[in-house]
Amino acid sequence: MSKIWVISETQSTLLELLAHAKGIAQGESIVAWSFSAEDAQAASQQGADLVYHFEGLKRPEDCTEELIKRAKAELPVAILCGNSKRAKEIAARLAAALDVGLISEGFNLKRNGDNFLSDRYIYGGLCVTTQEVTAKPFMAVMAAKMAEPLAKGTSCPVETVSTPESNVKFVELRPNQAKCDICGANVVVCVGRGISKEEDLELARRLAAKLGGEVGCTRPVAEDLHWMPEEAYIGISGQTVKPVLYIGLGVSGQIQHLSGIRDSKTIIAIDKNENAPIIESADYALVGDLYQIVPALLNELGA
Amino acid sequence: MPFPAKGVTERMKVIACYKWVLDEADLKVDAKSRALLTDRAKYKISEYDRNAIECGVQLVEQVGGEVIALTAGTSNAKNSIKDALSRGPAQAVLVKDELMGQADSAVTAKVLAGAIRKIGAYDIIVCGEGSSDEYSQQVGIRLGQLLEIPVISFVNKVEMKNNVLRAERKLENGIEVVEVNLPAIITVLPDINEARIPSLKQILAASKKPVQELTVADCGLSNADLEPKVHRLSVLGAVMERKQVRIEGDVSEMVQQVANIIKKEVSC
Repeated sequence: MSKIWVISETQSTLLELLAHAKGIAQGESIVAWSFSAEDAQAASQQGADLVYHFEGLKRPEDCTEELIKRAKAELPVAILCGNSKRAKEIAARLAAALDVGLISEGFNLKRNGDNFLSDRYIYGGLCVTTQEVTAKPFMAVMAAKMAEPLAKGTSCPVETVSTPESNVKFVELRPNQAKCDICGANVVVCVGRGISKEEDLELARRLAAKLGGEVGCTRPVAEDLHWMPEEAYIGISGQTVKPVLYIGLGVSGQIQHLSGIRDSKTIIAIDKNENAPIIESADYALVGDLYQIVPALLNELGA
Repeated sequence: MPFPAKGVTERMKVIACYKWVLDEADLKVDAKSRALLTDRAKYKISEYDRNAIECGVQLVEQVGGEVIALTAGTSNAKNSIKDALSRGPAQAVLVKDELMGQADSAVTAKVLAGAIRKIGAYDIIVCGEGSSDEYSQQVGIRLGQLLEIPVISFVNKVEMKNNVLRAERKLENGIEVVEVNLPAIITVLPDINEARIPSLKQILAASKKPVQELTVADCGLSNADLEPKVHRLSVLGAVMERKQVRIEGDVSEMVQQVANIIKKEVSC
């Protein structure tokens, strides 16, 4: 029986991929590749027909040669991968070994028999392109948070797999110190270069605290000024946020940044430059001095 | 696994790959038709690849050796060579074929792999993590797989120590440190370094450096190998439907209005 594979080393993504797989399945069984017993258990109840659990890997990427071997033997109809850096490496190596295409950060996945269509952004988010793949297996790294996990059902079988040593020697993993919660936040207050001093981040922090949100920033604030951890910057090469409310303080709105906030429900921009791209890309734009507006706003909100 | 006493080549040889891309800052979208307007756009070396070249140059500055800049593109990519060489590589290799205009990541990786086999022994290949036009984030990784060498992706720090390459990868949940024997390939993040701005002297010196042009056939590939696996059906300006309401007035009026909007969205 033909199969659709899903591969991710994080549980939330694995469950999203199972939902995507269900959406395109036409009688194929769905096989989930997981990297922990907990993820395997969750996948087995939420959409998979068979779960493989890689055991004893130092790094998830070390599974790749085994996946290549099995993919060549099984030739799945489609292989959907998560969009973490680890999963992107696994996906690209697998695609190269199978000599097939790989759509990166795909969304709007559609199937027409053996043809698959997916959209993705190019040119830093300026354009959207629809791409078609006709050769088997179809491979895509799916953009995150585009599907809801399926409801829990009965468990399917879980098999463990072990793999040989990798040619990349693992030395250590230093977990992030600062925990960054902007991706899951309901409200994101984002600071850009319009904030003139590091101390003034306090304005953003107070606003975020009042609204039960988190503070993010644009790339230069993290990478050039180092005022915030790199995990806090929003944009095509940083974080993607989907809050109910996004408030930009002194954010000009480069296309690369806008790509990271595209799916926010409401966007409010406060910036002194009326020609800044964010003014046109906002639901509500306030052109003015944020150093006057934000303190008055905090006052109005009773913060 | 025992590490060899020496690298693969006598003097370290680094191949830095780059892509000649449309400068996205020059691109416009027609407001009505959503068509992409490229007529005023200039080309540039993809930003991420400037960091790749810089990474290669810094590596050989540390341990000696040379950098070869490698690109594959249409005849237009020839215009990139001087810029690439002014950034520090000792020589450049260009694989030229008009079919590269339609290349996807699978094709580009195959062509680069063919060119590298032609170049011969090397120690390290450096690629940007993605390109500033497509940003598919896979050519470098695919290349490593095709050449059957260790791949370290998304690197933001790299060093050579006793012929072992040690790299730090910036992942979502932290920094992963790994080591590999050479030859190996790394794909680098933009924050690995600050790419140099070439001096006039470096620009002048660039025109004296050797440049090799290869055909796809030289790389052991046929036209069939240049057939993309991913077909682009359409390209349209991305639309973001927004209300675009300007909130005007003096500060207190603006603040009152925006506070009401905020209160409608979130309870605070």
